Amino acid sequence: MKNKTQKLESLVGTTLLFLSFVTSNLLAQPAIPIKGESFLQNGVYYSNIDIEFAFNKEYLEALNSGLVFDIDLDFLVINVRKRRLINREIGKLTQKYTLKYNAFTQRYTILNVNTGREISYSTVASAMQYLGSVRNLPTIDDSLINIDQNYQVYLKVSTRARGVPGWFKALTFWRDNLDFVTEWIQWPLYD
Amino acid sequence: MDTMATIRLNQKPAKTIIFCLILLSALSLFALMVASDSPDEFNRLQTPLILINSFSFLVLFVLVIVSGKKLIRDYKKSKLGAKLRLRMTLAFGGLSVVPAVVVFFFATNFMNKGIDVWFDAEVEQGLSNALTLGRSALDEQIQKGLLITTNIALELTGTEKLDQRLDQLRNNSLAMELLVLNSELQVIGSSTKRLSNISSRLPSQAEIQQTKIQQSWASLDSSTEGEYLIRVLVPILGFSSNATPLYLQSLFSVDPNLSKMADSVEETYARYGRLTFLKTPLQYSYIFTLALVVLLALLLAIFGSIEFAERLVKPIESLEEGTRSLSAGDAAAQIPKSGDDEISILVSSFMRAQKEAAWSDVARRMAHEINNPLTPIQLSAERIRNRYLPILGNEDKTFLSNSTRTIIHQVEVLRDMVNAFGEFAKEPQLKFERFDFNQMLRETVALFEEEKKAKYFKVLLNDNVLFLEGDIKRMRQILNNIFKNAIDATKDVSNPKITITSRLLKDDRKGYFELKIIDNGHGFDPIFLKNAFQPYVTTKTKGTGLGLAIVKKLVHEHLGFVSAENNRDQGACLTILLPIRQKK
Repeated sequence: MKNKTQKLESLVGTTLLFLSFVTSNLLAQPAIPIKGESFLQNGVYYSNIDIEFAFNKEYLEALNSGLVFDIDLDFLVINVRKRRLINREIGKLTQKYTLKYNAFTQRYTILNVNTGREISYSTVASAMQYLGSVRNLPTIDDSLINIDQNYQVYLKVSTRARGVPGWFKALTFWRDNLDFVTEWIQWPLYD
Repeated sequence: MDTMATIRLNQKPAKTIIFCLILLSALSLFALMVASDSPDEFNRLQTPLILINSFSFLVLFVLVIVSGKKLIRDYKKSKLGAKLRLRMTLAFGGLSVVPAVVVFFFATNFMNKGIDVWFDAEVEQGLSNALTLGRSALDEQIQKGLLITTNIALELTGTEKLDQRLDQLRNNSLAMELLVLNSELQVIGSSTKRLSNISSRLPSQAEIQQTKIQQSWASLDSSTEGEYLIRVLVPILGFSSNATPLYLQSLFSVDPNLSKMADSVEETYARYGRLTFLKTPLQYSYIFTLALVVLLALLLAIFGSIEFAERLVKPIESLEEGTRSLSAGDAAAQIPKSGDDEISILVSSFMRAQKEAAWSDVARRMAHEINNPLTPIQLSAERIRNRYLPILGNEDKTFLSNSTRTIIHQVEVLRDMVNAFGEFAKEPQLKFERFDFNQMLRETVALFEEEKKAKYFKVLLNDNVLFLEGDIKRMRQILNNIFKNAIDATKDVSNPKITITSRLLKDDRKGYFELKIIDNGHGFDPIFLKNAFQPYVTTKTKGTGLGLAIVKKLVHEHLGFVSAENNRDQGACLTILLPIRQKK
């Protein structure tokens, strides 16, 4: 009996240790969407989003080593329907950025892939601040919206390091492998 | 039902699947090897190829486990051949494991060292120096830009129409953009002549602070196209009576050639940095691939050794079945043909020898049992004949005479048969001596032709074969039996002909001579042909079925070989190979 209890205890202990190891890695998130809000202006709904970017040591090492990071902001505008009907997707938008470190200029360059505009910062914190504060992003045209219905804007952020072997990422799925997707956050398109 | 038994690895579909998997793995490993020449291609192909190989690995692993379990089960049950199979599997498996592990260890070691050499610290230092050197080359242009911007800032003092003045000053300088702003980063005036992907961004508060402290601030900006810009920020001293300090930001383009070179250095540095960062994953990746290849090869070797051992031992299992049947008294038991390798041939020979021994035993017993009552029967018949023949009347006399003659004649026939049995069962006691074989053969032929009063034989002998070593009595018996058989076979033919040829053999049969007896008779019944030399196999109505069996026995005793076949057109051919000299 005692032997069985000891075995059970060691099993629980190992599981907890593994879980704590996994969760500690999962909790070290490079990006957390904080909040979003949308507003109507001149027939277009715009969004302001706040994202907290916090690259850990490994991410920073990868960035400073010359790895390019793709940062995608995926937006969905959903028509939330009543009476248990399936929600309808009204619009989809992806705002793409790349972040890289230029060893020559010693600056962090952000490229807005959608517009082709570039901006550079001397510190990673400034670059993160820029990326984390998205303002006046055109989200959806008012003509697609029926004011009598309920709409929600969804956002998730993904960060990916280019050049890391896919299979390596697959094998190290349980730990930080420079490939991260946040949970969706949502907010109403209008109040 | 035992689940293990349901998996029959020797079934054709299973073998086809295994073959396909091996082929697929070989192809994918080859593709992986080709792809590994290019890291990008390697990354792209590696995942699906590794999945294929992992699948093959799993299937093979299951097969090896199933085969291994079956082997161990057979071993535990002390099944005949299981011990040998297990030993062979362990030996072959062990022989493949040791070199595979050694190769894997050394290959991994060399590979890691090779990769470490790529990332030599001196290379990294060299690239870092190249970067510093490049920056130094641009320092002169930055200083020039700083001087121009400072001068422009001085000229702006007291200016009223700021934008116009800025346009004028920009046109007279190398600047691409001039921007006047206050410490709250509000733009007071600007002049620009370019459109660039690089945003005409405002300086940050930190940069303004730096400018305040150092009276100037300069930096390099770059675009993804490899274009470089110099950005300079200076305070405008005494611009007006207004106390708010103003700042001038100017942009200068870098010489395109310098830009190109700077971009090249930066890209090389970044690529090296990426490789350094991915060094460990790359090493893992190669080690993982190598481990997979080695494991696949190992599993294949183990599976192959199990299969090979099974095939090799199969004839022995057949032998066990055969001997068990013989022990149970089934002298006609057949051994299933399990292959044409040496072991199968050996097993077949062994089984034949066992069967012949069994038949000899039968013959000896029969000879003993039949021979004993023959003499009293014959004597009794003769005594009845001698006693009653003189005193009986004509009719009874004839009846008694015929009956006793039949008894005596049949007893003679039985005695001949018994003698034949005895001959077949007799232990070999050969007396070898040199004799003129050709002469013996011709004498035998002459005796037969004289007895049959017919010219049967056509003798074409090689006169080089004169003297042979052998037991004369037995040799004569061989010839008698063969000629008797040949004459019987041609009994129903209108023009019976028996051709005898001899020749010396060469090459691998050197030291032997070949004797062929070809007749134009009815030939062997195809059903009996393969058992023509088995005892008691005969198609004759009268015969013991021992003639050719005795021939084979005697030829074997002389370390020779005998075979029979049907001619293409008509009749049969008997071939005997005999050594010219017997081994001492």
